[in-house]
Amino acid sequence: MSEESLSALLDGECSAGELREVLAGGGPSPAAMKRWGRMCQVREVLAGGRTAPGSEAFCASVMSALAQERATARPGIVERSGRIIARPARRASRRWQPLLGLAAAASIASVAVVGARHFLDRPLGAAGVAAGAAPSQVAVAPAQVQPAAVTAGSDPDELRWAQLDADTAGQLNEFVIEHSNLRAGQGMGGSLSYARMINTRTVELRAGAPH
Amino acid sequence: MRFAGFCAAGAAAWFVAALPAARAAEPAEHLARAAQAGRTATYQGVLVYRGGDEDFEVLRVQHRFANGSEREHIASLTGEVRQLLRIDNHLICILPKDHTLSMDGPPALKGVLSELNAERLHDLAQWYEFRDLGQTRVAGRACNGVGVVPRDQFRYGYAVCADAETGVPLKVTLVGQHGEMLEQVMFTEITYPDSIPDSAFLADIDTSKFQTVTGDLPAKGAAVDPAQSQLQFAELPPGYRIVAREERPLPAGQQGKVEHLLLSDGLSAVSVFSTIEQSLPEKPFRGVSHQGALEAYGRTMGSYHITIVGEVPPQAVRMIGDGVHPVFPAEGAPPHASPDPAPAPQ
Repeated sequence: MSEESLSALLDGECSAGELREVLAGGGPSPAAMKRWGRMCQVREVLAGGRTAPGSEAFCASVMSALAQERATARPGIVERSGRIIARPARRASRRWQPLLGLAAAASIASVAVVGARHFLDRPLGAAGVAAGAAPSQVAVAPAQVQPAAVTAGSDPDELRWAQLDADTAGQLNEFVIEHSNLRAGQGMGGSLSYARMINTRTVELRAGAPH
Repeated sequence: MRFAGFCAAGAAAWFVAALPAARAAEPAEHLARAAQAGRTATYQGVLVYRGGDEDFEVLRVQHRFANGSEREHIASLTGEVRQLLRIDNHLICILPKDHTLSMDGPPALKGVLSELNAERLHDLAQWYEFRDLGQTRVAGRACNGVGVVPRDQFRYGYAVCADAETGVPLKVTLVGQHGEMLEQVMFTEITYPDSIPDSAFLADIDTSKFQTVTGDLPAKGAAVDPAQSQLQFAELPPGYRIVAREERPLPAGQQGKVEHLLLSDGLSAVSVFSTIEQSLPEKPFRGVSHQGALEAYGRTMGSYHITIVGEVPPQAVRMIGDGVHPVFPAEGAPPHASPDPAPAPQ
């Protein structure tokens, strides 16, 4: 039972055929159940920022129910499950998503190159930063941390990494890795730095940057 | 997870004693314990990294501390196969063959804060406040929460949840200026075995199909002399200073060298990379950009190109970038590379 199959099942994007493969491909082995539970937790974390007590038990019960269904109703499961779970159109669009992303990135990159021209060869201006500014109190309440949908700066001209052309994004990623490598020896940044080093490669892949 | 050197035990004790308010003592103690436990505990589990822009990674982490030696194995469980193996300061990265990683030669940066001494801890308390966030649960375990709250707009804060029993930090969040989450690492499951065998710290994939890049994490060293740098800063955010400097080859096999300066207040860090015109890539980064908590700033000044990256607010990056200027013209550079921060048109 592959991670991709489990992921598709979790997304409710299994086609009838795929569901048949999932149920026929080894069933809910202890390892698969553990992976399933972990994926459930990750989804919950991403969706709500916390895991619900007993979520593993819930996931396990789902797997158990699927196993039971496989054992007792295999001849009919494709038809019954196909009506409920199969979403072939959406599944197909997901397969195209990387290509669509590349196309979008390419078009945005051309805009970015043009849009960035007025930054060339001059200070960017420290908007909101007075010379010799004294430290001021900032209301930051970590206890009320909320996921940030967008973390853009206040500058409307600021370009997100994904909007940069591939060469430029590649250069920046190299510098980020150097920066993260150096930070890793410093303490609290370490865990974030390591994870970021790994994540930077993923972002680069998604952006289609040259390697 | 690695918090090496954030607070050495002795220094932490001083730090706790130095804090004037009684309410600050307990969070600092939790923080100091977390820093120590993250380095000296043996644990393994699954870690979720959440970056900006909805990026996330699921990582398997194994960490062992035995006989004074620290080993760590981090492997991505999602997407491309990527692994990091670390034995003390030696780092091995395993990546797909068609990827590059610029760790050309062991970095030899000096003066990095691998440990905080009393003076630096005192400085840190000037720029951050430590708050008790109470108890919570992470990965099914009771945790003590500590907030590291910046006192101004030039640095981000942290929220740390450390295992109440072992002290190991189970959840670390980089907090933005409005209390929003910028980055986060969090265990979704963790165990504390008595020992982890050596075999766990070997690559568990066929490395012949991947590229392996090795390097050494920088060790702490002597203080950096800012006068050695080819750059000067008209102004830096309060508390920031140059803590490391190195010249190294340009990444990705490009010809030339880049000077790498690390600026830090003891917790937040910004890297300033400078190259001279002859070494510039075809499309040097200019302007500002961000990715999650990372801010980037690029600017050309005469013969110099400056790239700044760091997990700091845009105000800090802009203050550093707008105030930077070269000390003297590079060899062979045209005379217009003056200390004037306003660069000549190209």
